[in-house]
Amino acid sequence: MLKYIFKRILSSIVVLIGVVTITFFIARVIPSNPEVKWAGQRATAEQLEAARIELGLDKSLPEQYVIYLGDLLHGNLGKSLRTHQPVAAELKRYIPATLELVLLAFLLAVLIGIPLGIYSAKKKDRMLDHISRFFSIGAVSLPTFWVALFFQLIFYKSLSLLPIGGRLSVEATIFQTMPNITGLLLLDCLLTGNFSLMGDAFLHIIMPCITIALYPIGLVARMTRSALLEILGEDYITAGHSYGLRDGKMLWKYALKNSLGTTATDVALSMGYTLTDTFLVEAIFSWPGIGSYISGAVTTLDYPAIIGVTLFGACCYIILNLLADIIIASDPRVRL
Amino acid sequence: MKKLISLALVLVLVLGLAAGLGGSAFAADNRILYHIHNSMPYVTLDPSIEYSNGIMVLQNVYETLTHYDPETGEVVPMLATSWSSNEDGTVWVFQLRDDVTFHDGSKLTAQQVVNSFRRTMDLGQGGAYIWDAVLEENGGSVEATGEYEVTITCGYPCAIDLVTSAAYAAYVMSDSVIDQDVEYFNQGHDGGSGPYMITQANGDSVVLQAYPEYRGGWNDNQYQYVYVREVSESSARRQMLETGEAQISCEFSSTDLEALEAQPDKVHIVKAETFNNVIMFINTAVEPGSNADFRRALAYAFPYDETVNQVMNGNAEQSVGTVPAGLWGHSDEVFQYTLDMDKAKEYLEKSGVDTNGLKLTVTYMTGDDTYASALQLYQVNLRQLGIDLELKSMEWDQQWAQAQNTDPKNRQDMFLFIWWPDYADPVSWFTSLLHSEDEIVYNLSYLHDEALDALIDEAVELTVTDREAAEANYIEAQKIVADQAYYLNLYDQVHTYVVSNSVDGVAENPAYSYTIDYYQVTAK
Amino acid sequence: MSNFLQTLRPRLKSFGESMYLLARNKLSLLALIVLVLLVLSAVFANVIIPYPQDIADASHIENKLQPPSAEHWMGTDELGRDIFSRVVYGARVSLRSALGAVGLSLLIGVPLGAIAGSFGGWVDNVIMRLTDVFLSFPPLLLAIAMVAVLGSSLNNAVLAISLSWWPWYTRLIRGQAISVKERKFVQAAETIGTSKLKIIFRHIMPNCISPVIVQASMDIGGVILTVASLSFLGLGAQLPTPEWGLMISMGRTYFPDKWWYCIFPGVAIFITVLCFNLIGDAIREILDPKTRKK
Repeated sequence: MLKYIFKRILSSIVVLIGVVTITFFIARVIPSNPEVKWAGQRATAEQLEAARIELGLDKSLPEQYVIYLGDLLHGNLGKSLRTHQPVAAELKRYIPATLELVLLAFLLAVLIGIPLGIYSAKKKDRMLDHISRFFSIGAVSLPTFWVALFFQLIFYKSLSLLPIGGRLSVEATIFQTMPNITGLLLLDCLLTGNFSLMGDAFLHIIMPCITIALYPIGLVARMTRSALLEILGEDYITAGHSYGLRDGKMLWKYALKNSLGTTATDVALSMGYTLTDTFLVEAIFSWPGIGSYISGAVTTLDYPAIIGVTLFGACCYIILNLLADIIIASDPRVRL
Repeated sequence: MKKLISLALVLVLVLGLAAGLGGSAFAADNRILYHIHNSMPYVTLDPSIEYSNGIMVLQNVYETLTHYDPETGEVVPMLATSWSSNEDGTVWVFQLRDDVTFHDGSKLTAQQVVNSFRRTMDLGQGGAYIWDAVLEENGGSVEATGEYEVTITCGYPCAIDLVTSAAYAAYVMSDSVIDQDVEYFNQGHDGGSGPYMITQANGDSVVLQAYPEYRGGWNDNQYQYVYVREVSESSARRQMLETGEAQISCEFSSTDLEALEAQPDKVHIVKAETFNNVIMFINTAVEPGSNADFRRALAYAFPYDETVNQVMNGNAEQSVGTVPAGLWGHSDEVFQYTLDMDKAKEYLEKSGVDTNGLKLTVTYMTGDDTYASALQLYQVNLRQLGIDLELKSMEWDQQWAQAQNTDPKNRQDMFLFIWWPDYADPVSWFTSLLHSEDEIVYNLSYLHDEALDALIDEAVELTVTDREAAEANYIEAQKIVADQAYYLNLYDQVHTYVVSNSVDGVAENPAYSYTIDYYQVTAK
Repeated sequence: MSNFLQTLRPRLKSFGESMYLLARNKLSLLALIVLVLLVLSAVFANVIIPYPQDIADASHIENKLQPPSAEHWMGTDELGRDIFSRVVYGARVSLRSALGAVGLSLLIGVPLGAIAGSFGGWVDNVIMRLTDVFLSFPPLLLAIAMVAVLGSSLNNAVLAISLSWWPWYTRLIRGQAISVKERKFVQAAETIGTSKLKIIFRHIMPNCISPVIVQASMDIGGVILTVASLSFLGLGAQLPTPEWGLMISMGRTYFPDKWWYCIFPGVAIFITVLCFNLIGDAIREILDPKTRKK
C-alpha cells in the first residue's frame, strides 16, 4: 500500500514537471512582445533592453527554463506583464472567489444530483426516470454562456429578485469591513457572525452558482444512476433479494454505499477542470475570480499570468486525481 | 436519504434567513455615484506608469500643472497659476499655486513637482516618452527655482505647457509616495491632490472618497463616494441603468442604446466628441498594397456611410483627414473618400492588379462588434471587385506583432486601428503613424515618403513658435495621405454616455478620453 | 467535459442488436430521428436554405435585426442576413468541426494507446505519463493557449481541441489492447515470428477499435459545445462563417430586445448536443450488460 502511494506521488511529480515544461514552451512561442508590454508601447530602445534583462529574455531558452524552474520551487511565478505584480500574489487574491463559487456549485450538484440519480435508478424505465434522464442530459448539453444571459434577463430584469453580477452590493463594498479569514466570503461572514453581509453575498452568488452547477448536477445524477444500476445488477444484490431483503433496505444499505465511491471520484476530478473553466460565466456575471483574471491575461497575452493559472488548474487536477486513486486503493476490495 | 433532504432544507433555511437580513442594510446617508465601464477601470494605479483605462480614476485623484480646455482649445491653469517660455520654446518657467495640499496633508512645493516628473522619467514606462525633450541625455532638465517656481529646460523646442496637461505621465504626486512601487498603488493607496482619494482598489472596481480638504470646497449635492466598476456586457450595463442601480455608463451596443434613448423618464444621453479615430492601415510594403491606384480602389469601396449610420447608429462621424474635428490641425478641405463602387472599379482597372485569386487579410480586435460588422460590409463590397477579404479577429498584441514581422509578406494586408493623442496636439498621428521609422513601431502602412517626413519635421519645430505655420504643414501632409490613400481614415468616435436623470454635470473632455470629472457631477 | 461519458466503458455487442435496443426507447428514437434530420440538413444545406447568398456573399443592412416573419423564419441579423439560413448552414460547420476534432484525436490517440498496451514496460510508462500530462491541463485553457500560438481560425480551434481530447482514447484503447494481447490469435502470430508493429496494427488495433468508435460518437456532443465556446470567445470560427457559438457571441449585444439572434443558434446547439448525448447514453446502457439485466 505505502509503496503504491509512493509510486503514485512520484509519477504525479513527473506529470507536473511535464505540465510545467509544456506551458513554458507554449508561452515562449506565442508571437508577442513581452518586453514592450512590460516597458510600455512607446518605450525607447534602452528601456526595452532594460525590460528584456529584467524579464530574463536576454538569456537563452534553456537558461530561462532552468531559472523558471528554480523560481517555481520558491513559489515564485514571475511578475504579470500588465500589472507588474507577482502572479502568485494576484492568484491568491482571485482564487478564493472562484473556489467559493465552484465549491458551492458542487455542493448543490451533490444535493440535487444524488437524489435525482437514486430515484431515477429506483424507477428505471418509468416516467420519472425518463424525465430525470432528460433533465440531467439536458443540463450537460446547454452552453453555459447562453444560460447565463437568460438568467440575468429573468431574475434581474423581469423579476428583480437577484443582483445582476458582482460579489457584493455597492453599499456593502464601501461601508462594510470585509472579514478576511479564508477568503471564502460566505464562510468568513458565518465565522464572524456578520449575517447581513452574508445575506448580501449569498444573493450575489445564486445566479452564477446555479449556472455553473448545471453541468455537475447532470453529471452527478447520471453517475449515481449508472453506478447504482450496475450494483443492483450484482450477484450479491440478487442474492439479497432471494433472501427476502426489502428493496428499500437493499438500495440504501448496500447499493448506495457501494456506488458513492466511484461517483465521488468523478465529481472530484470534474471539479478540478471546472475551477479554471468558469471564465465564460464569470465574465457575464462580473465575478471577480480566476476566470476574470485569465480573460484579462489572455486578451493581452500576459504569459506569466496564463502559465500561473494553467499550473494552478493542472495542480488541482493532479492532486485530486492522486487523492482519488489513494482512496480507491485503500478500499480493501481492490487488489493492486 | 431523509438525512440528506433535511440537511438540504436546513441549509436553504439558514441561507434564506441570511438573505432576508441582508438587502439594503448598509444604506448610509452618504451618496454614492456608481459608474460602470465596459472594461477594467485600471491596469495599474501608479500615476507615473499607468497608460490605460486608469486615467478614469487618476484624473480625479491627481492633478497636473496645466489642463486642456476643450472650449477654447487652449491649456488653462491647474496646479500652475501662470507660465512662460523663452522665444524658441526650450526653457519654460511655471509658477505654482501656494494653497494646494496632498491627501496625506503635505503641502505642494516646487520640489515635489520636480520629484514627480523625475520619477516618471526615471521609470520610463507608459506615457513617459512625452518627456523626451526634457530627458538628461537629450540636454533637458527639471529644476525647482523657487518655493513655488519650476523651470523646465528642453534639449529641443517643445510645447511643454501641452505636455504638462497630458492625460498620462504628467501627474504631480506627494513626496511620500515617490519611492513606492506599483504594488503599493494597486493596493489602493494614492499620493494625489485632486478632489477624490482612492480608498479601495479591487482589480475590477475602485472606490473613491471625497477629499474633505480639497481647496475648491464641497457642496451638499456633490458625491461623497464614487464607485467605478467593470461590467463587460452591454446588456447588463443597460439593465443596471434601467433599474437605477448605476448612474453613468457608455459604450453600449446600438440596440441597447436605442432602448435606453426611449426611456427619457429614467435616463438622458450625453454625447462627447473625442479625439479618437479609427484608421485602416494598408501594407504598402508589398504588392498589391504598394500600388496607389489599388489603394484608392480600396478606399472607394469602404462603406463609410453605412458604418456610421447603420452599424454605429450615428454615434460616430466619418473622418475628414487624420486630425479629428475640434483639434487644431483639422481642416475640412482635406479630401474625403465616399463609397463609390464605380470609381473603385475604375481605379482597380487602372492599377492593373490581377484580382484573380486575390486574397487580402484584415485583422481587427477580438470582441469588437462594430469593427466586425463594418468589415463584413466591406467584405461584401470587395467581393464585387473580385477581391476576397479574409477577416481575422485577434488580440491587440498579436496583431501588432504580426504587423512588425520582419518579412513584409507575412504581415496582414490591412490593419484596423484606433489612435488618440496623449495631449491635445496632432503631432502624435504624424510622428508615430506617418513619419518613416528605422524600426517599425506604429508606422504600420510602412511609409517612406520624404515629402511627408519633411513637412512633419518642420511642423514639430514650428509648433511652439508659429502654430499657424505648423497647422498649414499638417493640413498639407493630410492632403498627401488622402491623395495617396496611404491609409484609410474611417471615422471619428463619439462617446455616448447614458446618465441617470438623478445626476447632473456629466461631461467628457476629449483630451482625457473616458474620464469624467466627478467633482463637477451633482445629484439633482 | 468528457469524463462524464468516458468513465463507463462500453462493450459492443452486435450492431443490429444495438440498433434494435436503441429504437425501443422512445426518447432515444426521437433523438435519433432529429439527429438524422440534422445530418441531412447539414449535407444538403445549400439546397435547403432560402437565402444561400446570406452565408458569406451578401448583406442587406437596411433590413437589419428584423423579428421572425414569413420571409425570415428566425429573423435577420445585424447585417440583415437571414438567421434561419445561417443556423441551418451552421449545422454543417459544427458537425464538420466536431468530426474533425474527434477524428484527429483518434488519429493521435489510438496508435499511441495500442502501442502502449501491446509493448508494456517503459514504452507504456512514457506514453501513459504523457497522457497524464495532457489530461491534467484545463482543456479550455490548453485550447486557448494553442490558438494563441497558431492564430484564431476554426481549423486551429479543431486542432487545439484534439490536443486536449486524444488522451482519453489512448487510455481506453490501451486497456483493450492489454486484454487482446493475451488472446490466442495474437500469441499465434507472435510464435510464427510476425513483427511486433505488424501485430499491433494488423491484429491488436482492429480488435479493440470498436469500443473506441462508440466512445468517439458519444463525445461529439461535448466537442460541439467546446467548439462553440471557443468561437464565442473569438478564438474559433471567423466572420462571416455562420458558426453557432460565434452567432451567439455577436447576438448577445442585441439581447434581449432582438432575442431571436441569440436564441435560435443557442437552441440549435442545445438540440444537437442533447441528441448526441441522449443517443450516447442509450448506447452505453445497451452495451453495459449489468444495467441491462432486469
